[in-house]
Amino acid sequence: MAARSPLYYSGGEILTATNLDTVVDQVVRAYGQNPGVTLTVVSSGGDAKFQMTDTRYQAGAVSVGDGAYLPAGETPNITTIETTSSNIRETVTGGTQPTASSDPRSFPVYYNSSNEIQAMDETDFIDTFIKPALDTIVADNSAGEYFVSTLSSITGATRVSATPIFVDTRADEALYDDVGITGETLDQPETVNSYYLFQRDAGDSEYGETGWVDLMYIDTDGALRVYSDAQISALFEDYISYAAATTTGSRLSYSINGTGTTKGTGMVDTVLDGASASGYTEGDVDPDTNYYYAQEFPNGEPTALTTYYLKLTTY
Amino acid sequence: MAIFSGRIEDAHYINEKYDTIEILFKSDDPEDTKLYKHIIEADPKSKDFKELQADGWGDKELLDATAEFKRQHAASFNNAVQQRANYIAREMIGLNNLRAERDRVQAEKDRVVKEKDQRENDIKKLEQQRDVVKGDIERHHGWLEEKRTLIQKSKERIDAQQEELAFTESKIKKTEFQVDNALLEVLMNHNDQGDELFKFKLWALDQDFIKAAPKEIKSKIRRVKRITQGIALIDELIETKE
Repeated sequence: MAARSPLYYSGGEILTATNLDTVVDQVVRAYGQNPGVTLTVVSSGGDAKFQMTDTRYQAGAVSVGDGAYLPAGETPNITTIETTSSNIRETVTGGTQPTASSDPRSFPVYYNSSNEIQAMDETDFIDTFIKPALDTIVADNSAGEYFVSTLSSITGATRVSATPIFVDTRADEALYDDVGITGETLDQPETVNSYYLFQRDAGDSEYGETGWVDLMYIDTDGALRVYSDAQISALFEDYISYAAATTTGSRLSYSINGTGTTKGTGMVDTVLDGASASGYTEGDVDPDTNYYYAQEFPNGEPTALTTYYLKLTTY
Repeated sequence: MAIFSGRIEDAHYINEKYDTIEILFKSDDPEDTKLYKHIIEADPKSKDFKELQADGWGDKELLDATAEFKRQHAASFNNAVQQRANYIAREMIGLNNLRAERDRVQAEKDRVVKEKDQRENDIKKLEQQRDVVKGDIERHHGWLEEKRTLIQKSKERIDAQQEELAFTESKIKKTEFQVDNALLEVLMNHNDQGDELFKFKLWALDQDFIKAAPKEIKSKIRRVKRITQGIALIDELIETKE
């Protein structure tokens, strides 16, 4: 049960493939055709593992002093508004056992320790081709993977939804400028950034367009044959999807700030970092009642409170 | 190739732990001038981090850009603070002006109210004085009327008295005339009567200028038979004296 060195046909000879990178690339391409794990964007109620919290400050309630302004210590502080939501749902679609498993000789051949040509079993096949491909999908920018961006369109990728998966809002300091006698509206946010989910487009639909290696198998008559493009493509596609969904140690899983490799940009939850008292602002005086109005506003520099990353890992 | 490769405008650390990098890059659409953000972990094993470094953003460049970012941010923050301070100062100045204006108006109002009270008191006093004067006038008016009536009456009385006086004077004149004639008539009627003649002789001899006259004059007077005779002697004496 291990990775094998497959045989391939080239120039009238049967050779042992020592570098499988190009083959693995083809498996990755096949994954892009039919990802076993898909993400969709929902307006709410996504999976808990994708929960993110947007935080911002809002103004404190206006204070009313009789004959004089109440000091900052007696004026209500700014408060936090936290909006936690999950807008991503993960679906595992590739759980069906591929039909190739019913035919032991349908997998590529290799030289066993006795120098005999032998067909790989399913585990060998997965260890040799599928796991390296899944590791590549996790570590690299590969077809079918999901990632995050602030762009609205990207060449070679498709935005899953126009609904952002995370919106960073922050108190709009410019709007907090007038206490008056009624006080500013407490919550006056601005949208700092919207983050969208993208899926990298699949490449060519069939194996062999680039980096072609003529892998071989044993047919029902026991003869060695070279896979057709359609045959090897279907084999890789079935198994990459299946393994990504079900094979322990190879299953793909996305998460927010879990383990694995970051996919796309981090999503920053920013807030204004000023202390509440620093935003203390005196307002107007009502000449009829002699009441003095004051309020504390969000203030300071934008600062990153939390950064969320979409992660992809195998487990 | 990363999404930002070849299109990076700026890259800098965004947190104090220096483990997060913000990359600002342009999209591949030449019409789109907006800068987009891409946040990555400062992880040397990260493919994006490697791509960033491959694009010429090594540690030095990142630190320099971060320092510049902080400077700009501090400047922008200070500028915002300054603008805010200016705004508050303007508000405060305006507020102070309003307060000063309010105090001034309040003081003016107090002064006007006080002045109004004073005026009302003055008016009340004047009204009281007016009532007193009015009473006095009415009283004096009555007195004057009374006096006028008295004067009128007096005048009428005077006129009547003047008429009476004129009548009396006329009467006196008439009477004097009658008296003058009467004296002559009495004289003539009693000219040679003994009593009257005797009284005349006593009266004449008692007058100083006759006393001083010569004896024969006095003797003549004693022997006159008529008063007129005696008057003639006296007249001679008076004429001589003159």
